[in-house]
Amino acid sequence: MSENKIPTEVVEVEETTIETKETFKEMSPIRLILRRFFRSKLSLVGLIMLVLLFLFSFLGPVIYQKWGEETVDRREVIQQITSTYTYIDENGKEVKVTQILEHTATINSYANPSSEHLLGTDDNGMDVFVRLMYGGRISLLIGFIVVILETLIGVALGGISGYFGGWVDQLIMRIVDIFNCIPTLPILLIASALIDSWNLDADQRIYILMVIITIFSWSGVARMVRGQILSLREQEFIIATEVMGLPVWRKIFKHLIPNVMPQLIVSMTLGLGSVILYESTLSYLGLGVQLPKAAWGTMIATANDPQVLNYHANMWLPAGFMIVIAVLGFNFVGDGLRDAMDPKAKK
Amino acid sequence: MANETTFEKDIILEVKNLKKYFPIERSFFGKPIKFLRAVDNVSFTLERGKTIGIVGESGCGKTTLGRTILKLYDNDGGQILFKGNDITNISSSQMRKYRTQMQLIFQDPYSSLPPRMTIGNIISEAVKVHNIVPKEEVLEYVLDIMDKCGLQQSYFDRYPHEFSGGQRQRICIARALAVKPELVICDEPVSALDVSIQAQIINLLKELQIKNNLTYMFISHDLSVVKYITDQIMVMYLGNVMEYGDTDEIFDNPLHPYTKALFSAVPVPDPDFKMNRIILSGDIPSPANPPLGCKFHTRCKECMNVCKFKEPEYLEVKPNHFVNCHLFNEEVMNNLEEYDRQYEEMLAQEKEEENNE
Amino acid sequence: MKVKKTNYISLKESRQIIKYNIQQMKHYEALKRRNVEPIEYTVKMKNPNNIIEIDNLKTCFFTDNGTVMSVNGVSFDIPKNSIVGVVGESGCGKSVTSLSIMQLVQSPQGQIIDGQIRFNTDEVSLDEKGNKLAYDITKMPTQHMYNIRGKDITMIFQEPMTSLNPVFTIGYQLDEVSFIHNPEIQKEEAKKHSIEMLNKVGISMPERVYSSYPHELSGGMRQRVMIAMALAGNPKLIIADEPTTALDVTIQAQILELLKDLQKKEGCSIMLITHDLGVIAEMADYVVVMYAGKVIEKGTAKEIFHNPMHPYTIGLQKSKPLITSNSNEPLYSIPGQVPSPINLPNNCYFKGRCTKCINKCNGEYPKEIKVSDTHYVSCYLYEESEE
Repeated sequence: MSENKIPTEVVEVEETTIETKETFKEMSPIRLILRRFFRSKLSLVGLIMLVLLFLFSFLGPVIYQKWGEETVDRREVIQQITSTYTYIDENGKEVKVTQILEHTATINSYANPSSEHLLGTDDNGMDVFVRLMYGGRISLLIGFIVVILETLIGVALGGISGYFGGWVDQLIMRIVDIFNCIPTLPILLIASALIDSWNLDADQRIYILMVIITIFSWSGVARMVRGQILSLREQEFIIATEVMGLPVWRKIFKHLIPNVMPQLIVSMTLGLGSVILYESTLSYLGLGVQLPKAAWGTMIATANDPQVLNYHANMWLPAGFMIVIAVLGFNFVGDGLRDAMDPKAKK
Repeated sequence: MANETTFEKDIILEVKNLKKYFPIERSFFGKPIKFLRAVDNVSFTLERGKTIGIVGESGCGKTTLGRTILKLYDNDGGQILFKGNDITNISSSQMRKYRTQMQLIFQDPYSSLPPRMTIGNIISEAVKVHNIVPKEEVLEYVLDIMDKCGLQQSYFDRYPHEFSGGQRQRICIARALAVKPELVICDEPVSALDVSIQAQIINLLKELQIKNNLTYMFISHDLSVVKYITDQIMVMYLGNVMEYGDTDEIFDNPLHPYTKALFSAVPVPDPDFKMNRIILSGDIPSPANPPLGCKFHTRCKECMNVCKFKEPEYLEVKPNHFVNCHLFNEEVMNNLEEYDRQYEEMLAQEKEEENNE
Repeated sequence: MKVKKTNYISLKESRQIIKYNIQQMKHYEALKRRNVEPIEYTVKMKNPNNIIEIDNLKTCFFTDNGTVMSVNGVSFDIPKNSIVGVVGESGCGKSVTSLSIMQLVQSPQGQIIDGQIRFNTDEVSLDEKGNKLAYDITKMPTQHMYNIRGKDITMIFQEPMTSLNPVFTIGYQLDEVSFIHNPEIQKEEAKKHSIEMLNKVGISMPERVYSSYPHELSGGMRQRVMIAMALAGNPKLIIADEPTTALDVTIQAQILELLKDLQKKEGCSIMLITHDLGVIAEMADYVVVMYAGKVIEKGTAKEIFHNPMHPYTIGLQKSKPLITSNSNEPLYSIPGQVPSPINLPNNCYFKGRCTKCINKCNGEYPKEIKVSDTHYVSCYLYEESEE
């Protein structure tokens, strides 16, 4: 019954004439990345933290111009220090003594938070709130410059190492090893003493700070880039460039580096957090940004004075809080980017 | 005489005793002491416009052979003659001259296209670098190639991830053909594709071969596809050529036991068709540690004592039909008793050594 | 600036899809968490000689690009003691069907939204009218499924390289299976059982393999171990998902031979999923051809190979060059590509690639047409013969 139904002849159809209609649309790559990025609430939180931080540090000083970074509040203030003692006299009676000390200071230092100084003033009579903004500027600026520098060095050395291999690779990787095993803190302390003896001004010290942080942090980037390039080189599309006879520079800059970019962006974002931490540490140790320039690390360093630590939390606590916000923000965003840009994480 | 042969045959590629060994163990000072013989003594000639098929199971060195010919790997012996020029030991800058003339099509259409470049850029990149056509004609030329490979012009600005496997393979073919090659090495070009798409790609390859007078070296493990597309066939096993000859001859009259087993193992889409299947026992030995003598003897149904210690010779049994097996070596077959004796002696000697230890 | 022609979802559409997905996923997940009594998922078998009856199964994935109907109304039976081959191209839903049987569809994105999978088990017997009762896997709670998975229904995967745990020995992993199915079993007994299993799948030195790690074995050996594991619980059904695709031809021949032998000896059924028509022809008693989430043709192997009816089945068979033929003609090739499984229009999915379209094809999706007792096809070309 069915046999006569079998079509005996099959008509050949020109393949190219049949256009497959697309019945559905897909997400654009950028939207896909955004969707994956915002899937985690933490990356959204991180992003908000960073936006607020940037507004605070860069726009803040423009809007809030009541005090400058280095302006000292030179109004004379009469400070009253009230202290109360109780002691027992010879009759066994309890006696309360209230001592009021009044002195006129030429600068308004150690002021408590008020409408005049939102977060009070520090030991030099400078406004803590304003210095917090300028400190943020310096921290973020140093962060960006250092990260760009270390990425440039890391990409160049890691790229050379991964692409050419052989003894070049060996040499560069051993240098990376050496940089990885230098004990950072002792070296920094020695450097700190050395730089102190040069009597540089505050601006120059910032440049030196950037150089030092870069020297100690490029090796991680170089190692990551090398690993990426090694695995990319096994990919068939890189072998294809070889077969096509493309020149070496084209292979490196048009094919290898763009494919390392996602990982680089992630590592740069995460790197920003650690550079800010580094900078604060160095400033705290007296190696970094120095007075009268503001930096979060130097602001925390005021807590070395037990008086400040005990009675003037407004001088150092906000700076610590800002560091936490900055580092957490960069880490959250970095993690989110890692999830978003990893092509393997489809789900 | 010499003139006559060159007139008759336009040989595009000649490979003589090609060897590629990968070091797998190095001494403390980096000197290699143990090798993986990925390609061992492979020779063949390929005429213009013809197709040679390289078949074999995984680890037989077929991919390595293709890449060694393209000089993606340095070879460890032998000669590669491309259009009569010895390209065995030339530097990579000299090699660039030949790059456009030899191309490679990959197995995996997903990893062989750069993910961050548009289709147009992928195809035109090498065209621009090598100045295949004048600058102002590049766009037109690329669109023309895309059209020939069955790609719509609107794909020019799109990215590889938007396409299916078959379309991507077309893009790969377009990229390879855009530089006007003469020899194309196809490394399993259809094995990652669906059956209905495979036929499209095979037809496309064949059509382009006739149009552009291309020469193919077709590497595959799919025997039915190889039979369909090739003129010559070379069966490889653990880096060695087992059998080499014209496709029809080899399929009609396979001589080597391995070839026979390989052909009989291919499933035929017909439930009534009962093939005299030769099921090979055991697994392919590790290429890093191949057996002594004939490399196939551990799985061979017709294994003799001589196979276990003496490497067979590569002989031309019939005109244009080469076999690498003792069964077809008259000298060996006539002196089997002698070889059996040698084998016994060898065993006895080994035993003695063991006892001494 | 030239405006690029793109085919991307707009933000609005994307939001709608995501909202819809979340709502749907919540709905189906809530259904799953309910406490279900066995009576609720006990159903009647159509034919007591079947081990599995799949009836109008619909499995979909809620993705960011829209709802993918991976399995869209699939019905076929797996008779006892037989090999059923499911053939189709990548993305046709053959793997998702098997995962649905195992309740292993990745949730919450993937959900079985309709249909029944009736599993003929000894746990329930006949009802008062003498009909064979069975469990409906689609409604079965996960807790109960654990008893069936790996015991009554087992699975062999495509990648023998990655489906064994690299840090444990083969023996440990085999023993584990025995312990799961029979917690009281002694260690020595489990070992004996494991070695027996390894022997059964044709491993010549089972003791040595027992104490070796997966990386020490070749691909073929690992696949044998996987088969041994699948056999350990005396299953009624083995689902083999492309069991030989990753293997070489000569090894493939060994494994197929082994599977066939074991099926006969053990008396179980095998659902063989593959894209290779040759493998199907060699192994299967019944063949199911799938395309874009639907069964387009099913029948016995002879019917499908000698009397293929659907244009897709015909094209598929013609497009593969034969090792037995010497033809040099251009290969027949099905033009175009498999349609994307999102928002498919309600007409024949093969329409865009079919060379034998008739006017009727513009109508809704063709119904299944009975050709013989075992042979069914979904195509308008054969509708008149029905009337």
